[in-house]
Amino acid sequence: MAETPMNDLNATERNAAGEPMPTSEVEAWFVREVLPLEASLMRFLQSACRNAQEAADLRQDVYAGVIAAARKSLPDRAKPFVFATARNLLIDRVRHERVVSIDTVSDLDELGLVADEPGQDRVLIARDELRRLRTAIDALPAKCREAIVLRRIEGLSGREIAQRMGIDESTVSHHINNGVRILAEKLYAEEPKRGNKP
Amino acid sequence: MSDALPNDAIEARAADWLARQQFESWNEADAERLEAWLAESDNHTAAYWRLKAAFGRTDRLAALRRPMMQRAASQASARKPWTLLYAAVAALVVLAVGGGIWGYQALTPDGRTFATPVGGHMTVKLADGSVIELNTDTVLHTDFTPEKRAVQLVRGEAYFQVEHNAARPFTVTVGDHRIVDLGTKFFVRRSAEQLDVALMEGSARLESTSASAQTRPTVLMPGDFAVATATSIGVSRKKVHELADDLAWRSGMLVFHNARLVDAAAQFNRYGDVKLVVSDSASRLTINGAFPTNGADDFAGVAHEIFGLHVDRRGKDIVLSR
Repeated sequence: MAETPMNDLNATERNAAGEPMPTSEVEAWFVREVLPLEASLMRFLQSACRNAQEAADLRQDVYAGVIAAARKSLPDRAKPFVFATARNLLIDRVRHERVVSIDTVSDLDELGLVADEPGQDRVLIARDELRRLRTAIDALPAKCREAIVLRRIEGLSGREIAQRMGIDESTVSHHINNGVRILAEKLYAEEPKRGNKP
Repeated sequence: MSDALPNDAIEARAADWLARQQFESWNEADAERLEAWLAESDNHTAAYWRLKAAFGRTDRLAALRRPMMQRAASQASARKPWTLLYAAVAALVVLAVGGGIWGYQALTPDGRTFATPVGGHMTVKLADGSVIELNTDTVLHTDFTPEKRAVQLVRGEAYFQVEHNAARPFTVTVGDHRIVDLGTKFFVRRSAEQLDVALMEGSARLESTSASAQTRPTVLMPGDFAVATATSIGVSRKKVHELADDLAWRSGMLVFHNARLVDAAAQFNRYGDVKLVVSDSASRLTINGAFPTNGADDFAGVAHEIFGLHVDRRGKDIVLSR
């Protein structure tokens, strides 16, 4: 069942019957194909936004749009699809809020997205991943870091963490809540790298 | 804007769901409420999936617990668990020299033990100027005295660049075999059935240490690729670029030339949690190419595109079949 590679931005019709994609498949695709694009997506959004918070806000709208489309059928290539969604959202904002400059929106065409190698951004080197994890964990506030390390490395439950740290469970929950958000920012902020050729 | 960045509040709520799952009190009713919340909006789903994936990536850190880390963790005092644990994690990185990034060492009475987790890669620069690079899932023990430099490869694969010193021989022991350096660069890979030794530069002697061995010591020259089992040592010649491909892991890559799909899959499976399974019907197909060592997904994609194989994901297995 070889598929014809498609070079346009349309989603490939994988389920002719029009049934929605299973959620688990959409999630796996989102994690594998879309999240690794976050660094380049944020660079693009930040160039168009007034501040970082607004870019993060837009990012989530982009993701929501991408997920909504993926539920119908998984786009053949994630990168052009994500950036096309971002551009459409920016254009909407220009129309409604005059937030971004038209220049920025047209810049998108110069990014040469369509010519990009598929999957380039999601190639990660295992050891790079470990270094990245450590950097992200290091960047957490001390209490968040302790809670997350106790949970993920030592495998303690929430209650056990509370006992060890001598704080109540709701505070542990707060630290994990905070920690996981910072972790996501740090982990996706860096561009995945391709390994050097030998 | 009508609301003050509502997405920020959504993210906080998504993180809250994730945090609550870490507690024993999380139950089916909670899970249903989460499902309902996710179903409300793709914005909710996007925020939740993103955080969940980031949190899930820290799984890799759990790999550090075994085998020695587990001991370190259990020895950590109850009062300051983090400090000790963190000291251990920090020690891993102190070792990272040059390109090598991840692994750890433990001091024992008779030397040092170096180890990498699955997917790890570490470069160790020794005081005598020799360099050892550990590939994925490798354990190696060093015992250096003024008279000798003894290395034991307990499991896995390593690349050696040895500073030759006739007065202080450098030996690598692997099960029943020993490699004695005569000034060289070589790599050693230990698997359940056999030992592979490839020599890039200089020369080295490969010998059996087992009293009952029928084999004679073999002197390896550059380009020699030796395969030793309990009862035999066989040597074949490889071209320099072929040996370079065998060492592509040093740059985080796997290189295949006419490799059978099933063999290529076995290589990927050494480096990550994802397990590639090739059905019998597809195992004889051969493939060429270079992939990152954790590129099992890309590999499956290529197998799909080139051979039209079905790619079936079952948990952590990726099953390739006709």
